[in-house]
Amino acid sequence: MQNVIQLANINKHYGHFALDNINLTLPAGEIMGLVGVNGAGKSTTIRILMGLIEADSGSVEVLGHQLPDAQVAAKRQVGFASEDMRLYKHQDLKWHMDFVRGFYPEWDADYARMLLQKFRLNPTQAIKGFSHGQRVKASLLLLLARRPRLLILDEPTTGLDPVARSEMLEELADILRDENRSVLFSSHNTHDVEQLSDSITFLHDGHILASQGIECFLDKWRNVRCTGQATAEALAELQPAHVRQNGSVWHIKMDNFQPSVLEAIKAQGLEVVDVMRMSLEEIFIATVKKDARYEH
Amino acid sequence: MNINVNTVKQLVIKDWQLHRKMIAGYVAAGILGLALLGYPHLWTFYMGCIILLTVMIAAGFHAITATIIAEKKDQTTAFILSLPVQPAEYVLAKAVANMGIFFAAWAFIVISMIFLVMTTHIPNGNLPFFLLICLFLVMSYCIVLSIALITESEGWSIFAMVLLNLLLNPVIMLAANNPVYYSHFKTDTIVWHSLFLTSATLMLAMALAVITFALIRQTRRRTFI
Repeated sequence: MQNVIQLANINKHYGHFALDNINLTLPAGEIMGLVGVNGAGKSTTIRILMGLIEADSGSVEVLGHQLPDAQVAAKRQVGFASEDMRLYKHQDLKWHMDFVRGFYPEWDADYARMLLQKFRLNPTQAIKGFSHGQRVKASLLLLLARRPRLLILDEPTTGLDPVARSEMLEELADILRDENRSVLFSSHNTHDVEQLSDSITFLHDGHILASQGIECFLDKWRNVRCTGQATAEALAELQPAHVRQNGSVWHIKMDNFQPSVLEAIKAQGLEVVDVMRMSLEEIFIATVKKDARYEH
Repeated sequence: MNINVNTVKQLVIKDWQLHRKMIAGYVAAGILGLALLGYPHLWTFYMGCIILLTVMIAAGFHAITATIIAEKKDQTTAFILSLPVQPAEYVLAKAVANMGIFFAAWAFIVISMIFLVMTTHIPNGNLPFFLLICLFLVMSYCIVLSIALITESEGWSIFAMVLLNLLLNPVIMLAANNPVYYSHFKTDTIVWHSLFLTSATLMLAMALAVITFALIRQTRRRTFI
């Protein structure tokens, strides 16, 4: 399968932050969520992908185009929206649609009209009169009507109230189901990512912690709850991702769970109470903590 | 560097559409200033001069603030950068749109002023002095525009605007007290003295040099940030 995004050995150094050897591929037709806390490097990675920032080293290929040199050719087929992107507040949406259409001969006017109805947007209303949710929808309309092969969305749901966020995710899911397009979207909200993505990349402190299919994550991770007396040193032999003790109750989070681990836990003198699947948020937090433990 | 002229044109038209009310406002204020200038009273003459000076200064600085600094502050730059536009086209479009706005107001005022001086009671001998001030404003504008294009910083741009505005008064005083100019204030003889020609050439050369430097520097950028 062809990769629509290929980042190889990307490094970018700032005074107090560095992207460290980022390798990332997005196969065609896949939806990837880029998850990380604020300051993890998501926006920097996306800006490099859009040719807005030049990496110190490494290569960037988007839809077969090398960036930043071929950014115009790449951006003709990419729809990009970021949380900090604003439209011209004194102009209406129709003005924006006309302006964007001038750059994209393949602008789909019928699809734009359909999206106007679907998003319940008034094209003749000035942007300054839109709510934040409506502004996000307007931005989405402007990029979707170009019929891009690749969508790159940087924190599209940030700042939306719960209702607007839920609506937005439902509409995004509908749109993404309808289309056979590739999507990379970043978020610090694992619930959003879980709802939309086929695969997930965890980014933390400028480097990639893990990148794989969402089912892979959910299948491999388990929270084993045990009771009894044991020492953290003894449990470390099991190579857990994270261990937490509450009195006589132990929570052992395993990132490569095999049923045979349960026997090993019993051998340490613990009784297994239950084995729980973990949510993506729990997996993300455990991954970050595991990374911090190995770093320090 | 491969510039797409159509892209630059679309971006320039965009800036003109966004700021057409501002352009119309300055042209209207310019007409008011010219009307006062042509009225045969000393106070209206001075009032007209002040309005015209203010309009030319404000048109340039407002254009820079509205099209370069405000776009960054209002976070609309990211919207433009998401389009198939390369840094060189963006910078070129900003320079063209800005200079278009400033020179539209400037040229209208200067041409009207020349016409007014030549056809009314205002002594024609004033023309070199008037043009010298107008050319100083062009140079000031070009320096501030270059700084704004290079730094994209509100602070640096305002610093340059204030500094150059502070220089305007000494320039007017120096020229007004120079016999090359003041000896012709009350005559109808236009004298293109070598001092005027040298000053005008230097100011235009300075304006051209800073703009060229800014454009060469900024259009070589491979990325926006």
